[in-house]
Amino acid sequence: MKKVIFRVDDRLIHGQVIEGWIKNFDITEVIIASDTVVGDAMQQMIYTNVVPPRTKVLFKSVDDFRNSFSITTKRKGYLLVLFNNIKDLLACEGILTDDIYINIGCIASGSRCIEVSDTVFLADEEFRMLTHLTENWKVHIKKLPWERDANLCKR
Amino acid sequence: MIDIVIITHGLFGEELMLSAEMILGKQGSVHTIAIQPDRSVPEIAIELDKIIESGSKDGVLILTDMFGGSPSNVAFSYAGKAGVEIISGVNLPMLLKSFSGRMTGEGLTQLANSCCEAGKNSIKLASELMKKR
Repeated sequence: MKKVIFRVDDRLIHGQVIEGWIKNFDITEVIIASDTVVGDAMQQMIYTNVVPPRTKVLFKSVDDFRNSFSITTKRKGYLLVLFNNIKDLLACEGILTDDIYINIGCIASGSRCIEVSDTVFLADEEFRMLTHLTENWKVHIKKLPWERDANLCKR
Repeated sequence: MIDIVIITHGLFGEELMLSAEMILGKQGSVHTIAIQPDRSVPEIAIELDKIIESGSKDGVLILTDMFGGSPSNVAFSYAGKAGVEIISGVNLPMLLKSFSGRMTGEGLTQLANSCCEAGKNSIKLASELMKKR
């Protein structure tokens, strides 16, 4: 597994992320890149307290994250970056490299009509954005690391 | 009477309620919210909001299955709200205590504390018990 993981998950840190990713890879650093959470002290308190004691959680706006992020080849531990939605991930397309594992984990259905997997549902615009991303980058659509990737197609 | 809300991954909460009712009989003012993979957090928050807003003046006790899971994350955003207490890690003894405690007139904070104790005290390692004999 690559040391830097960019994941889209509209629940951000929750059971699957804690058990399947943070504990599984012993991830010690999580960045939540979200314009909503960066201004919400209550959400920050919750996310800071639900991770294992060794894991540090940082909160940044999407712009701040994009402007401050740099990937280092000397990284020892894993870094997990969580985005609320595909639009925020796409806003960071300019900093993507082949050293980043891109994961689409959980997007609830709501009014979205395109079912890609049991946890990923997309609106038409999101489907287009994700299709664009997959043209340039390997994108893994799955909620847990040990699952098979779902194909980006309209089920 | 204090309202009880059980929020869990899937139908665990509903089944837990049925199990508790098997022991203590049919209960009123109990609500369950099942979080399914396709449900968004805002949808769940709206459902919980409605229950809290229409809840008893005696208060609302929210029980969730796992600290750090989506049910807890939604519920804990109500921490500090007057008339609401939230506990994660619900199990059958905890739920039974919530039913019996409110029947005996425990206030919300007292009930929340006694439910925490009941939930924790019910966890035993058999081999450790054997050593103490």
